[in-house]
Amino acid sequence: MRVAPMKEAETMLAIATIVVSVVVLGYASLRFYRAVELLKIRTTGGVNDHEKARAAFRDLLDEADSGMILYDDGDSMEGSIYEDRAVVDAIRRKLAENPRFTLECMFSSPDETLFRKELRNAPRVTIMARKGARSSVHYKIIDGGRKAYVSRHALGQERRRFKIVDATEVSQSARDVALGDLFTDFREHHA
Amino acid sequence: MLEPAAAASSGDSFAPAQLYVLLGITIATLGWLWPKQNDGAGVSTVRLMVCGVLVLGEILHLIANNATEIPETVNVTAHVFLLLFYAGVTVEMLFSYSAQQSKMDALPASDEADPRGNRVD
Repeated sequence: MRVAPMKEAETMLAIATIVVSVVVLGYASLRFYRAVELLKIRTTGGVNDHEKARAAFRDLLDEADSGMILYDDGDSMEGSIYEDRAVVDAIRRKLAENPRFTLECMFSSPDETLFRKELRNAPRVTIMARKGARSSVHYKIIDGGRKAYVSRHALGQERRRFKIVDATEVSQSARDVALGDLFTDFREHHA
Repeated sequence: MLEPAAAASSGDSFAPAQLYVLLGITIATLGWLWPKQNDGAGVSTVRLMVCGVLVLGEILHLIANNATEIPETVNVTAHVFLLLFYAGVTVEMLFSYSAQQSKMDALPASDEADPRGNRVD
């Protein structure tokens, strides 16, 4: 085997250094950009009740373009948005006005709510039952994570802690990082 | 230009590179363990970088040992790789921190109490 002269080896080393530098700096720049993007996700939170939850739902529905995912109890307790005629009508309007809009629901409660009765056979609506134990974390996500309403509470609890995660100004990959765990839970339980 | 044996023992110009390697491995270990404790984000990338730097360091070491003198290119390359390595690990840790923070921010605190009466968040 021929041993390369030192000058030739040095030239190769210099070229390799440049190539590695470009690759690593490119990767680091991309990663840095993603890190900064994540910091641009706006989160607000508080404690709400049925009325505020209903208003937040309507706001999200109005803002939604391509779709909405509901991961919730979906129960028929007093004050539940799933027993609210106005909510059902608003969804029907959205489906009629926007042919791109899809609604995917996963409920842990088997209650036969107004929502279920009215929308079970509606076009572009999928209603699934969550397998296993109830999760205390619930969410409503629009447009693949552009905006999300996340709440965490016990069953039937009137006052609930919530967060609104606004990822409008960031890329889809940043949304997937911030809300990916929630989607994973949804996908894992997808019927 | 230094002879390898002299450089290794005297702590001259090649010695800082060795120190950097040690520092790099220390930082890499921290960078490796830290994200792992949170959610694993970035672990595979940092592992890859650690392996890459060790392999590259070994190549440089072999080149240096086979040469009668340590060429300046080798010395410069060692420094460049280590700087890139620091930059990579730093960025990776920043990303892991941001990812973890954004996930935590998205989750509301729990009202459920644990058996000792503390609120579970």
